[in-house]
Amino acid sequence: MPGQVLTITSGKGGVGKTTTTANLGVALARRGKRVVCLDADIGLRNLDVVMGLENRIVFDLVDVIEGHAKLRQALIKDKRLPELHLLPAAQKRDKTAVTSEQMIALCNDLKKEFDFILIDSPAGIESGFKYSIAPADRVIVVVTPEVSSVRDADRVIGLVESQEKPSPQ
Amino acid sequence: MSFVSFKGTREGLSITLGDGGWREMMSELTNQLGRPSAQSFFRGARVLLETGGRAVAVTQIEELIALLAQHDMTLVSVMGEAHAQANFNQLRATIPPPELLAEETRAAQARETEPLVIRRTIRSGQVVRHAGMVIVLGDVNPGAEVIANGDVIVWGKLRGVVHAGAAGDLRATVGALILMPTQLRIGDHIARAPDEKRVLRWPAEIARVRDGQIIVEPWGTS
Ligand SMILES: Nc1ncnc2c1ncn2[C@@H]1O[C@H](COP(=O)(O)OP(=O)(O)OP(=O)(O)O)[C@@H](O)[C@H]1O
Ligand SMILES: [Mg+2]
Repeated sequence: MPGQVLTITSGKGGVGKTTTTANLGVALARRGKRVVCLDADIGLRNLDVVMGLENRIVFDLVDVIEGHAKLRQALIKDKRLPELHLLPAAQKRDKTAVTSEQMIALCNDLKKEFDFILIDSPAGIESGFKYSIAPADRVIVVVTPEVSSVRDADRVIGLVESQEKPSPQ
Repeated sequence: MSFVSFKGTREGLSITLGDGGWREMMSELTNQLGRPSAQSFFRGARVLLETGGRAVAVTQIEELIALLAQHDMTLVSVMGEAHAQANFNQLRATIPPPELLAEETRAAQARETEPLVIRRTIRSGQVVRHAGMVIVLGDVNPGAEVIANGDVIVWGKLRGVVHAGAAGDLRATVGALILMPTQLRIGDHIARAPDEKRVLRWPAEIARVRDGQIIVEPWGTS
């Protein structure tokens, strides 16, 4: 069975997308699922730091998409949990380096090897949000108990539904 | 009268063909590249050929590649007339990538190039590339990269990614007052930050390749 793509997003920044992605990745990997966490926050990457894998980055998402590196070379395997992998974002580029079509193609490749592809989306509803949502089979919206976070979440849910995706969780 | 003209660009040396006959152009190019003053200037260059409206045959491109190779130069792209481009693409597979060419020449070039001095902190997402030595009077933060064909010296904290001898020179070194890079590369060797904390040695440390691996020692021990 091909893998599932789950995108973790929020609209509002700093509400815990990256933390949720990392923890969900660990939890699924502990259950023996093959997981890749994909950092889509190009230019402001964090997931590598949260997962403690920063010092192992050689190639990144943009290198793979632009054909400078093979997927295999860019994927970082967690030493503690062999089922857990990270595909880091590029830090020296910005969100214009990737398109929705390229993300869909990349995820189709990843689906062949992984049970779960967890995409850590950047904050906002601009291009970074759009290319993070494009390949998603399901979307998880992270919310904090604040009015501004709830308003942003509502907006994001509307945007996701308009893409004809299942209603977010 | 000139049949060919040269221009330095960010991507490499651009050579534009004029209207003369192919023979005349080749002999002019041979002379130009052969001048003693041109020798070190052109050596190792990546060349972009601008053909204008001229159709260039496969054999002619081959001739040009061979001539450039005598001066350690590599033809990397052909622009202009469509057939010339198609002919070049057909040949492309046979050209060795520039990295493999003249590694020694590049190392020598790195030692001759003026050092680049940067008087500020290099922050996440910023990249510094230089064909010679790089000296940073400031910090190199995590997420920043310094790539030098020569040595790298950081008068401050080095916590980002650093690559010395990036063209393959294994004699290149990396020195810093506080040497804690996320990743340290010299030539084709890579060392990663240790996962646990490391005791830094006073007053500074230097990394170099010895017996096929990167080692770190206190400044001034050898
Ligand atoms: N469930 C939680 N409970 C309390 N604090 C949390 C929780 N999840 C995350 N945090 C804290 O919130 C802060 C922001 O988290 P995180 O970086 O995951 O957010 P983000 O949505 O990815 O941010 P950005 O929009 O900048 O990418 C961090 O300090 C994190 O430790
Ligand atoms: Mg984040």
